[in-house]
Order: sequence, then C-alpha cells, then structure tokens
Amino acid sequence: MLADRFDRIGAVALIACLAVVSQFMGDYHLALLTQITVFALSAMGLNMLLGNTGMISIAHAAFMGVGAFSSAYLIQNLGLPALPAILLAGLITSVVGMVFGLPSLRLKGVYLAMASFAAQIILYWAFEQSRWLTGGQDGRFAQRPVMLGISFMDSHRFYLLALAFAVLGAVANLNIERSRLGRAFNAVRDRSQAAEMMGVNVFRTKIASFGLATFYAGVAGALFGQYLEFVAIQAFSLSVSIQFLALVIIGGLGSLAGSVLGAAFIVLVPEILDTIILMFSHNTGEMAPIRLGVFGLIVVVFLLFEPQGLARAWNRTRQWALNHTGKGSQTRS
Amino acid sequence: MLQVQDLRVIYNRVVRVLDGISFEVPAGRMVALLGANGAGKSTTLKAVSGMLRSDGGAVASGRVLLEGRTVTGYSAVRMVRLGVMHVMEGRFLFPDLTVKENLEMGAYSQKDRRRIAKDLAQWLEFFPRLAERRSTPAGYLSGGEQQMLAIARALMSHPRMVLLDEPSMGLSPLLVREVFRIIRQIQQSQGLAFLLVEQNVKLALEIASYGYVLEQGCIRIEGTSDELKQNKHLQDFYLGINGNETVRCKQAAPQ
Repeated sequence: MLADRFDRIGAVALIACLAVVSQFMGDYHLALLTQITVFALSAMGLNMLLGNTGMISIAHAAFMGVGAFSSAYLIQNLGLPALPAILLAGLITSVVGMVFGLPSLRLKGVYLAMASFAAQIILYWAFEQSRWLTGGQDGRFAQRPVMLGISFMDSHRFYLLALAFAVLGAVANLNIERSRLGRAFNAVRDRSQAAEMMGVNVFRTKIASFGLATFYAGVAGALFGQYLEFVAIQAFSLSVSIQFLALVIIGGLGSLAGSVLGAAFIVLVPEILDTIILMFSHNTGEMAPIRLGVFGLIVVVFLLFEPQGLARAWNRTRQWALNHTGKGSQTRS
Repeated sequence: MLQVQDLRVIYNRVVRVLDGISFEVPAGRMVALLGANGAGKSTTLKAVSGMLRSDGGAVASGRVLLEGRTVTGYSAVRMVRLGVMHVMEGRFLFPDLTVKENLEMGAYSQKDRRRIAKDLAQWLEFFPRLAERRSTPAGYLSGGEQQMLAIARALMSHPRMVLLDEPSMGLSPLLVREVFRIIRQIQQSQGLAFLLVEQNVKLALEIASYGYVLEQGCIRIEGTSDELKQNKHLQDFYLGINGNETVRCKQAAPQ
C-alpha cells in the first residue's frame, strides 16, 4: 500500500528529524518540544479511552499526578532504579484508574463524566492530604533519571528519553487498535449491546480501556515530573484535565495523529498568542485574560470548521500530497 | 437442544413479563414464537441469550437448558461461547463499521484467523449483495441488506443455534419473502436450530416446523405449523382468515 508506506516513512523521518533537531535547539524551544512529547504520550491514553472506547474522563491530569508522585516516591524514598520505577508508577496509576473506572459499568455519557469529575476531586484532595507522598501544597522534587547507565540529567538527553517513550507508546497504541481488544473497544463505543451480542465482555473491555488510558497517564506523569524536576499538585488540577479533553477533541478522536497534533496545538497556540500579544503590549499579565479568551475562540472556531479535528485536516493534506506525488489515482481515505 | 422450563422474567424487580413459559427447540429445527406486541417474545429470546441483564431484566424462576446443561442466567459472553447467537430486533449493527468489519466482529468469539477469513469469504459468496457492499458502512445499507448482514454476522461465530427476532421488521413484503427464503436455506444447509420470533404469523409458519403462541406472558397454543394454521383462535386473531379483519378494514376505509 502506497499510503501505508507513505505513513511509515513519514513517521520514521519525523522521529529521526526530531531526535536530531532537538539536540541543536535552544532551551525555550526544547522545553516546548518536551512538553508536547510528554503531553502526546499522555493524550494517547485518553484518546484510546474517549476516541476508541467512547468513555469520557475529566480526571486525566489527576491520573498523571498519581504517576508523577508515585514514581518520585519510588525513586527517592524507596530507592528504586528509574526505569522500573516509571513502569511501576504506570501500573499503580493503572490500578487506581481501573478502580475509578468501575462506575462505567452503569454510567454513560454525561453521568460518566460526573463520576470521573468526582475522581478528579477525590484524587486532588488525596494529593493535598498526603504530604508524605506529595509534599502537600509545597510539592516535592523529582530527579531526572539515570537509566541503563545513561544519565538523562541534561535537558537535551532527557528529550530523547521522552521521545523514546512516546514512540513506544505510539507503536503500542497502533497495535492495540488493530488487536482483538481494539476491535472490542470500537464495538463497545459504537453499540455496546451489539458488542455484547457478539460475545464481547463489555465490562471487562471498559475496565481494560481505563487501565490502558491511565497507564499512559501514569508513565507520562512520571516523565513530566522528572522533566520539571519538581512535582506540584497544581499541575494536575481540574483545568488541566479539561485541557487534555480539549486536546484530544481538537486533535481528533480515535486517532494517533490526533493525539500528537492536539498536544502540539495545546502547547504551541498559547505560546504563539503570547508572542503576538507581546508585540502590542509589554504587560503580559494584563493581557492574560485576553490570551485565554482568544485561545477559547480559536478552539470553538476550529471545532466548527473541522469537527473531526486536526487529524482529519492532516489526512486531507496527506491525501493531496499522495495524489500529487504518487502515480495518480490512490483512493484510500 | 434448547429447553425452557417454567420461565418467569421480571423487569426492574417488579414488572412481570413472562409468567412461567415452557417450550423446546430440537436440534436442527426451526421453531417459531408467535404473538402480538408486548406478549413477551423478545424478552424470551433475551432471557435465553443472556441479553436480559443490560435491559434491567432478570430471570425470577424457571430453567433454561442447553443440551441438558443448565444455563439459566448465563451472560451473553458465555452463551455465545456455547454457540447460541442472538440477532436482536432492529439488527443492532455497528453503523460506522463497514460490512466486512461488521462480519469480522461477528467472529469475535473465534480465535482461528484462517477460519475467520474462510468464513468471511463463504458468507460473502452466499450474500452477493453484501459482497458488493463490503466496504460500505453498515449504516448506509438498505433495510433488507442490514437484515442479511445481521444474520450473516451471527453466522460468523459458527453458532449451533440462532435466536432471530423479527427479521421482517421494516421490510417491504417482497423483501420479507426474500429474507425468509434465505433463512430457510441457511437453516437447512447448515442444520442449525432456529428460534424465530415473528409477528408475520403466516410467513413464520411457512418456514418453521413447530410454533408456540405467546399471549400476555403465557403460552396459549402450541403445535406443528400445520396444526397451527388450522387453529381457529389463530385464524381469528393472527391470520385474519375468517374475514373479520377485512370487514373491519372496509368499514374503516372512507366511503
């Protein structure tokens, strides 16, 4: 398939390009790139839950927090090596996520949204109370890791680590989508009763989706904390959870490209707006509400004109490129 | 093959829908469950297939036996594994998935990929209309095509028994005949047991060998198709043979 090869070559080229270019970037741009990469990894999980399985969660940031705090605790307090600590943090988050996913057996749509809202509140409250784990309002430090004998203290090196995790996450994401479990996800999303009729264990499928989504959140949260070298509970508030929801919707539901493009959008657009605002005013503090307003406006306008998200726009561009570079008639959407 | 004994079903803990019904479906035969709206036909199928729970219903008493094994209250997942496939009223396709993907979902309980591919080819050959539209999302199919797809999808799991609910729903009379012809053909060639729920009593009795008439949660009449066709009560209320209905229609019509 021309289209498949096009995608694969494109993806490999992009990853190679990011790995090389990032090493020559200044701190500011590298910080943005790292944030996009970690957010994309986290968004892949939420997108599998929301896009592929059709279940909403407004607690994704809280789950990232579980991963961030538990990995910091495992490394600093229990002395675990970084790699197992990150994976274990992912697993812990996954277990917590599955527990909070239990209401999905009975609840759908807005009701499920309310249940996950409760999860966000409960987890956030637990963060505030558990000073031994989170440092409470003061937050706690997190170290950049040494893994397999390689130190990732340096920001440029750390980016490569984040990229490696994101690539692994993306490959896993694609494989899961094509697997039996992935088909069960879609079946449950499209018509859960029909899925049940086909012999899909709907409940187990839903819980598996929560488990996967929160595993991604946990690992991404662990990396996020290590990248910042400091974990504060405010980084995992409700508004961040909603931001992730927006990210996935803007990027494109049920699409890996959507998770990546959405992450780039959510990180870059506010920065670009800042740059523009700075051209007119030197007082960014005063302009902050305007920035938020404009950002919201862009999101709404965007959804009106491209309701299927950035991934759809990207697909169209890709199709156009295929038709013009390939030998003409490739009619695959 | 399937025996249902004195089955009682209640919804939401209070509403009694089935009030102790018993019937039997022998292996490789087609049995029809007849009756008016709200008689409890669909509920009976759901009680057998394990689809009752997601509807808020439960088996209050009675037994369901599959080849002598008690399967009362089994989940749909387990019933599919035991070879009982339910085609619910309204078809319940995956509208956004293509015809081919819908069929593949039907084989969800199957593990052998090569066999799934073979089955897919076989059923697409059997349903040429579906083969033509294999890449079309199921939501875009016509009513008749959707019904064929729902049946074909159920067959992808190699069932030993199919519970078929109201296959004629929303189809033109011509299409209904076509669908019933195909159902009979499949039933005979595959040696499958069918439990058919149908409001079109006349057609149902043409392809089924035995029938039960359900009224208000109880079985009123049962017998072979030929017996039922001769039954006075059935003729009066369901077949309209004695002319009562035609007369009423004439009176109701303007002028």
